Amino acid sequence: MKKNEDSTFKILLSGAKLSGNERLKSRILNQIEVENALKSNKALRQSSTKGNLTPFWMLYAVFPLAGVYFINTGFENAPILFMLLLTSIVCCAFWAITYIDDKRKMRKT
Amino acid sequence: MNLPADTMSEKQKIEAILAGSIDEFGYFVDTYRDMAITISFRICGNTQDAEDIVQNAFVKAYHSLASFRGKSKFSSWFYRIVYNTSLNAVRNKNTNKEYIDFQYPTKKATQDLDALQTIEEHERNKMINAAMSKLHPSESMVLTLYYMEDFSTKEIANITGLSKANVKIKLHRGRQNLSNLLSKTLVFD
Repeated sequence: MKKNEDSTFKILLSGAKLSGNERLKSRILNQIEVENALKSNKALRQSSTKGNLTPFWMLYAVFPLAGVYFINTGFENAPILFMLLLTSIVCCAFWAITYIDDKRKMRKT
Repeated sequence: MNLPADTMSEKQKIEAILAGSIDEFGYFVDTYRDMAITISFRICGNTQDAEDIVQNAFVKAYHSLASFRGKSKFSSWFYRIVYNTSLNAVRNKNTNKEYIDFQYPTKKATQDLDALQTIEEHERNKMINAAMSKLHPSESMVLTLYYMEDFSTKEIANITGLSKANVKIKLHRGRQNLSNLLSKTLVFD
């Protein structure tokens, strides 16, 4: 009795399987490809952001050396010292803006 | 070892995907798409949402494939993702539960299958799906997995997170309710 009931339900329900859109497969594979590309892009940008730090660290290293040089020469070239200071401030500000912007974009993606 | 795609087992395909071959994932989409759509449709009751949910479920499955340990069948593992994604989608959004006629797997018109029989079959499937959509989602879900996919009650319990006893109860109630609904609409030969 139970087996008969089971086989009746099996026959009835076997035809009621639904089918999705044929384009669903390409949609899924496309989404996976896009997400993979975004992931690798994000990783690339993270590593490039880290790479960007290097020249600025070099600048920070050069700056005290320049300070020592100017102290030794008795501040003869004070206007050059001022220009160097201004340039490094502008560079640091520019770097900070791009770094923060990158972080914000990464959070969005 | 590079085996031709059609002779590879599911385990080998999974290994190939994990190694970076996205194309192999197409096999899983082809094999499990229809059942995933059916499961999702039983829960959300809307065709467009069901497709979106299944798309998300496949993408989720792809990204968490590394966590599949192969202790259960891939189908059970994947249908659990579909089930949970569908439940979350329904919770997050008030889906349109209105029954919409769905596309059935296209059967190539063969000469021996006469047109009238095809229409009858289509109408019958439509009625069954309409009746299934009137059942409680968990009941229609259990019936779908039990009769369409031949899952055992233990496997269904794993997929749905219900206890084995609860699955049996839902199966019994689902059968009863479906019989009542169908007896009003279907005339058995």
